[in-house]
Amino acid sequence: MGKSFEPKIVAFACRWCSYAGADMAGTSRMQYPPNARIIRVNCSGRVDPIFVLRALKLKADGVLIAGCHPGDCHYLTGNYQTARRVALLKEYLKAMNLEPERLRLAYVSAAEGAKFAETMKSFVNEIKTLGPNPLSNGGQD
Amino acid sequence: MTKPSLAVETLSICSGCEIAILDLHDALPGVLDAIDLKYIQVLMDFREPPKEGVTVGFVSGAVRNEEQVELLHKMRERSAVLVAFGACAAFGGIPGLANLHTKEEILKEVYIDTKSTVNPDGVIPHKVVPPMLPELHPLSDYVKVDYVLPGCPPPPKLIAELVTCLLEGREFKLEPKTVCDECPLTKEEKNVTHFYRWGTKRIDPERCVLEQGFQCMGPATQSGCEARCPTALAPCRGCFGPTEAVDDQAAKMIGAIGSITTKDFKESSPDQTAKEIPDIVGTYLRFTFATSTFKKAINMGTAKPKEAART
Repeated sequence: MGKSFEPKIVAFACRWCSYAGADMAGTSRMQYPPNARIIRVNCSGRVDPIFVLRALKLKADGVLIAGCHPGDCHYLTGNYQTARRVALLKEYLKAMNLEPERLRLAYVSAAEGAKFAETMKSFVNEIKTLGPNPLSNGGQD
Repeated sequence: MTKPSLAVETLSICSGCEIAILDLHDALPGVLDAIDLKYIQVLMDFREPPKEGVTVGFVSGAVRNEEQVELLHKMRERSAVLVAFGACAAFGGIPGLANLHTKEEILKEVYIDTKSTVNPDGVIPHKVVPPMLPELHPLSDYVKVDYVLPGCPPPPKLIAELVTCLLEGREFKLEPKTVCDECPLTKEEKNVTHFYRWGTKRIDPERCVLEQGFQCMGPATQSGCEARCPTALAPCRGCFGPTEAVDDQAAKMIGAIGSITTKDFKESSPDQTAKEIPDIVGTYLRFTFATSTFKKAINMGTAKPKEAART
């Protein structure tokens, strides 16, 4: 191996809050680990549970879903739906012998660039302690 | 012209699917007039499908041991059209839930740990019986399947329809709709607060059972059964598997639960909902775990389906 483990993280960020928050982190030149592949979605409620399962099946080490704060959803209730789906998905992952911590839901508003950077740092650290996705052949694939 | 012939092979299954064929009742003599039934173990004493081959082969049950792999290949070679008959053949069915455990765990539980077992030497059967595969597989993991007739068991009406289609040379296809599309119960509010086990609460016979807080798989399940369970006020268990646009019934159901539950977290928090649905895999993947996203619990070895020695 030699190289230290760098987790691959798939991040779904909602267009109205979290993606703008990530932009804010970038334009403010905040430092955060480059492990995430950010995918912009129109709403965190657009993240079908199958996206999460497929990402993990395809050996992603962690999945982050970032949406608006409760009450701030551009589509009124998308983030509430996501919160409930995430709770159920974590149960699904547990049954599959995957650590539920590999899936995280974060609320990041468009103004919270610092919070986005902070979330990334703590999530990457958490995944590093968990180690690679067990499907990924010890992080080799 | 010779009559088309039919063979029915039985793999890892409860034999309910064969009984469903007998359940054609009054239609059965008509079917038997049109079709030459060559091989079906619940009715006739033959050990294998005829060597000269058959027009249609029904295979019910999933593949759990090495003998069944051979039987399945034999059926594929000898049938012009192969039908995966029933939920087990199509998706692994209820026996597919065994993929949550390793083969070793299962054998230990069954032959050593169960309270009613007396086995002081801890012997696990290994002679004469065919070796068990590490996991259970649906038919499509091994052979090309021409038609899938899901259901646990498939409803007699659909069996008759499939047979008719095959006789007339038409394509058999289930409409890409969900059970909810066929369900006559009234669907109105999308604001479920709590979920209940079936039988713990009185059911309103007019209203959607899912909206009343029971785990009905209607939104994530292929139609064709005419909503036979919800109509009888029993929640749909999903035996028809997902519609063709869906990979994972559980993902679809989790999505649906997110949409129909209350948006007021004071009434019911996400964690509360997760507690009220205690067995996600057993509830949402009851019939389709062996074809779901992960197919088995992780960290159980990554053995590929084993090719049986073919003669």
